[in-house]
Amino acid sequence: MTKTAYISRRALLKSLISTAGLVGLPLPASVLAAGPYLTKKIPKTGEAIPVIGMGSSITFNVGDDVELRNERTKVLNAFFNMGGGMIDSSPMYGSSEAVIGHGLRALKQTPNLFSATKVWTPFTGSGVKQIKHSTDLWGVQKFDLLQIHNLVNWRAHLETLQEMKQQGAVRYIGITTSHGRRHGDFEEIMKTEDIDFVQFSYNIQDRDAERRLLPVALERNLAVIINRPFQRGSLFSQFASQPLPNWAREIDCQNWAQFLLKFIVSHEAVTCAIPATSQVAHMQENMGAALGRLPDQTMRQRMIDYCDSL
Amino acid sequence: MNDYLSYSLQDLVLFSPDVYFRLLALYNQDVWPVQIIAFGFGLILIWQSWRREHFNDLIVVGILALGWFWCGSVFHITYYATLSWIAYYFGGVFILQGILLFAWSLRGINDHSQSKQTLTFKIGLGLLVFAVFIYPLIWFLNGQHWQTAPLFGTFPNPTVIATIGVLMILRGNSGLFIIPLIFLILNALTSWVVGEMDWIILAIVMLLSLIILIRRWLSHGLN
Repeated sequence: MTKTAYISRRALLKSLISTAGLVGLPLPASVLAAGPYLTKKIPKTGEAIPVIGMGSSITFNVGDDVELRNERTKVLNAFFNMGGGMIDSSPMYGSSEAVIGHGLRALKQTPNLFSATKVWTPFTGSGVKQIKHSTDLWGVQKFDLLQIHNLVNWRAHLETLQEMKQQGAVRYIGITTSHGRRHGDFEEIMKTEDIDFVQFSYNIQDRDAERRLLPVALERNLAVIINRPFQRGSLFSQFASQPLPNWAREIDCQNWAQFLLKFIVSHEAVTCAIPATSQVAHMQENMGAALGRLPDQTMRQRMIDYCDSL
Repeated sequence: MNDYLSYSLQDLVLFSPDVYFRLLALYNQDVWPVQIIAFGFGLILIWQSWRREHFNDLIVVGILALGWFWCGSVFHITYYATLSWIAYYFGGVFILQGILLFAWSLRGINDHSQSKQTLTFKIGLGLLVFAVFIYPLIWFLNGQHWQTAPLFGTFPNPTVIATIGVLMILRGNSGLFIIPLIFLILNALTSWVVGEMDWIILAIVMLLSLIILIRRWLSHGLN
């Protein structure tokens, strides 16, 4: 990140804090566990993580292209400079893990990194080998979070992950799905298995998770990661040409990305959202959602009504 | 298997179009001047197919086999696989088709009887000419950069189309159509999902192939 951008971030922070102070609106202490960036606690341990993380599907899959790899390193740099923590990937995402590893090695200092990847193979015996390969690609000692991607061969892999956790080879374990896939099985695993995290899709337009998965996560003390927060970009296609409502300023939203992300992370069961981007400017917009106020229940309904009206 | 069947085609497109086109440009740059040799092979194929009474089985099908080997091992496994794990499977299947074609050419085709006047010959030759000359041109006219141009022998689509053309001319073993047709179906669907217009070309080639195969089946039975 450039020096100018760093100053600009500080200026933004100063301005937000002083604006809040001037109009007498407190920053929401309930979600502020540490620092100016919003964090939420992982229910089972109380560890705080930033509410905005980073996904890497498609955006970080750039193969061996050196120029593009270096561009993605700049995106990572912006992410960490703006208080980012969780990076999520998967062996399914082509070269994404290798490109993240390239970036982490180039940046050297990434103390806030919360590394999350997945195991994605139908073969039980390949699971451990795949995790080892991912560890090498990222260049980390061990992962903070290992998840079973889209429930592929979940029974066998869950056993492996639970053993790894007992041995201290991973800190947290979980399961993932996306786009409404296999919600029935997913819910059953949430209710019956010993896991720490769940990851699924949820956004202002696709709120199916509110009916079952989010309440179960609350009940079972599970941390929730939300993928596809912009519905693969389709929410921008629908809304970007429309103006942000004036009242969006009341929750410190300056753009649609922040509006959509703040809606997600303001749900009490959600721990963090993981938008993916390949551009520094978009990363800065996304990370802005981790600053300032979050909507309360009334405001959330207002956001839904506004989007429905567009 | 059910786990994988839950994916949509869009889920399997794991990269952005920009990144894909850069890969194509880098690939073309890296393998240069293989394209010139491949283009020369394409001209030989057209010439040999035109004088179909005297053509050399080993040369014609051998060239195609070489194209499939190249696309499998270099395009798919070495380059495309850096973006998509599916490319390893495509690569393996392309190499398999190369082996099948090569084995067929060694066995001797012994059917040079098809008249130039038949519709099958005309369509077959048309597809061959289309694959070597027109397909890369359409790509260019469609606004893509010339550096990413997909040329016969080094890129899967024109190689597959040329193969179908030659198989039509040679009255090739119907089994040899299977892999090219499956690839066309998958590629056409993927192009359609990501909004690339070449799904229309691939669908037309697929349709022509099926018509020819059905005609053949109705008149002679599948061989």
